[in-house]
Amino acid sequence: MNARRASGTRSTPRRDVGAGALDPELFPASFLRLLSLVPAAVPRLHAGVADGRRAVRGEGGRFLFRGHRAYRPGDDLKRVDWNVAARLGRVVVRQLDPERDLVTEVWLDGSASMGLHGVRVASARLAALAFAIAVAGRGVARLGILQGGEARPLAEGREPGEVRAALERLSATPPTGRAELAQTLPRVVRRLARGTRFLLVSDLLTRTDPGVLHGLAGRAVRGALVHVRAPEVHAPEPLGAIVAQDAETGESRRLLVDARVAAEVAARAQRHADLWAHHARSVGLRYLPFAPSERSEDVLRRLVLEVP
Amino acid sequence: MSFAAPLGLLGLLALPGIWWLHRRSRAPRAVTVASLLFFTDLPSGSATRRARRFDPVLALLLLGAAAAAFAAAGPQVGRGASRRMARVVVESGWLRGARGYEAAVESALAGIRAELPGDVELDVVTVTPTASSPAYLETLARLGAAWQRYVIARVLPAAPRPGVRWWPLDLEATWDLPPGPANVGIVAVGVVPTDTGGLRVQTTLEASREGRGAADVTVVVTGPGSDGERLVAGTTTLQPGGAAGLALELTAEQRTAVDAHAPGRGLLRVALGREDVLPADDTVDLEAGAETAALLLDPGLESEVASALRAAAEAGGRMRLGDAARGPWIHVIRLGETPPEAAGVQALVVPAPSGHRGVAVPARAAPVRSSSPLVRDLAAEAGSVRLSPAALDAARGGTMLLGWRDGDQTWPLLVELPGGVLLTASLLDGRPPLRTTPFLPLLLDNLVDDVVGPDIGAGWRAHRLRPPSLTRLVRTGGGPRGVATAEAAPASLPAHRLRQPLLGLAALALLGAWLVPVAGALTGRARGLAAARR
Repeated sequence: MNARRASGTRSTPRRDVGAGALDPELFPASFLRLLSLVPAAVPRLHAGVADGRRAVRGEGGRFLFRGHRAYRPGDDLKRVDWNVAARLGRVVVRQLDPERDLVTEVWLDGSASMGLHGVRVASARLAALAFAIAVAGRGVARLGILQGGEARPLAEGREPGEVRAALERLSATPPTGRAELAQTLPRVVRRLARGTRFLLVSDLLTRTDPGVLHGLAGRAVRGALVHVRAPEVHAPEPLGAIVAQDAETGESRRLLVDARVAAEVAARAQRHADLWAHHARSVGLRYLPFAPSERSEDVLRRLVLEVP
Repeated sequence: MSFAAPLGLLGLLALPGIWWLHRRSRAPRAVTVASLLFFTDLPSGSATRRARRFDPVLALLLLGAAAAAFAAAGPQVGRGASRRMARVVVESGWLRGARGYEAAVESALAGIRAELPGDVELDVVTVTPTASSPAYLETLARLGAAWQRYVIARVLPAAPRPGVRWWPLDLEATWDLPPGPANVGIVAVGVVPTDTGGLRVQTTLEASREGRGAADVTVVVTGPGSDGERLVAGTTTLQPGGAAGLALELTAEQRTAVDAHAPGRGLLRVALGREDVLPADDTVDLEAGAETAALLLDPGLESEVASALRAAAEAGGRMRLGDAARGPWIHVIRLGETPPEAAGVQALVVPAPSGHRGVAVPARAAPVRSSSPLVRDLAAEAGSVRLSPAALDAARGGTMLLGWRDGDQTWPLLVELPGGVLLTASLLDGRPPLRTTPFLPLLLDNLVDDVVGPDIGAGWRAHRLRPPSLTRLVRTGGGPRGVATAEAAPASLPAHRLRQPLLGLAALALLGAWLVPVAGALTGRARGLAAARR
């Protein structure tokens, strides 16, 4: 049973999903309903956060003036209208509509390892939710995949109605080969505009040096490194004697995964994750670990509240 | 340590098979993993011999299988197991009264001792009923643990089964035979009133096959009392293996004298005027007017048992609550109670105490008149059934075996109590308890039959009338009306039996073998989930 689980019974089987078709296993009806609620859910989730408790880089653009409101603790002092304060004796801040050209780029690791242990389903839904959240915030959302040494854009959208196209592209792009983050990430980073919200969704099962993230330094990029961590990888069960085949490279090794080895693998995986988390934070990215089994509603809430 | 069923140890041969199957099931399997990134420089399957040295699941499986195999072998430890003991069942009963019986038994025991190693003790079980069937004797020999099993019997089975050795009880070798048949006995008595107001006592005699030549045998009828008046006598001639009838008439005056001596219950004695090898069948007592028996209940008897006995006595009609002043009577006491003076006791029913571990009684073994499973505790001598003090002592300090026969089947009733004492369970116990069945009145009536003796006509009953098979000194088939007992001093303290603990250990080991992988999977999953959320 362990072997069956480890060999990917929870992975999504490849199927021919033509253009314009959604993979019902990746995006079932319940998930689509959740996606349709994202535009309404995002403000509600924000409203649940106490004023002044959530760090934001600004509540709107510079030019789309909407009106004034009373100052609340945590408001940016730059937005205090001192003229009004001098004239009326009340401290108010200017309210501006968000700029519509806030760009969110979601890049998905498309390597074959993402196809095991339910990681593909979880990561595809996570990318779709991030895309939908970006669109709901009246920004520009871009979705791309890192696969076979290439960084391929999959979809771009500004309106909620354009989310479906992203889902269709995700459905038609199964994980395969290797991501080659060492080559693809620098290309993506070079193309990022300043101030872009950047999300990299990956299982990080790569020998690439996490220092590759340092290309983001000094570009005012914010966002998150979304780490999808399957228990089968990060805390394997003692499978006994196995012949393990790497899903990406096809390399086979004869192993004895007893309790001691399983613990050692878990420790190594933790150190690996810690290293990537450290580098992500050093360039201003949040490190967000997710389990494939997390409910989509929880993922949505975490993406809205934890991704800067 | 010893084993009741050593063949069970053959189950240990399954251990290598279990080991092989387990190893085979643990052969490397092909598993697709997300990445070998974290498996670099870890021990490979070919270099895991040391790591595989201890496998808890395999260890638990082997432990469970070994425990089950040992349990099947029925291991015993303790003093009982440390001493080798040979059980010898000796046919006894009325044969004990035969001349040369003791010498014949000693001779047989000496032969058995000579055959056995010197450190083997003999556990001699004496079976009191006369003419026990070979199957019953063999069953007694097979009871309990023993290193060797023997039966010393008068007649040996034609095709003995393995496991029990038969040894002949060679009475003839010790006899100093008188002229004529070796034994002559009274096998039937009848009483018929004569036209003149007297009594005609009809006696049937039989002779054993042993002996040479004919012999004149005198039959004497005497009056009541130990020194009763000689009333009438007659003589007949018997050949070895032959039979003869003799009718002796008492006059009306003699009959009147008998009644006057014991009003309401005339007493006569019919005896042979010849000494032979078996005196037990040479005398028969006749009694008139004994149709019912008094039922005496011990005050400490369990109320449920007492009520059932009382109701059954009333239903049967031949037994009623009474006192010992009139006989015959039947006394029911609690198990373990000291019986009344043995001399006055004619029958004792010993019900099992409440909560006593019962013995499954097959329904077809329920008593009927034709095959009465009377509860007779030990010595059936002198025509009465009584619990002898020696037998009671044996029950308290040793082993008492009680059983009865149902057709060809013998059902030993054996109940073990803490402290190493084995006590009998009566037929009032069992499943269903006899006291709750309609058969209890029949049982009591049969008891009355037993204590008052068989009806021989004209309101007279006979006591100490032996079956013809005894007179002939051979068995003719059939046992002694369903009940037999045996007693034996314990050879040693009862051994501690390890079967139950071993079965428990086997069950725990197998449960553990199942739980270990499950627990591993659960902890692994929990660990994985926690790690994924860190």
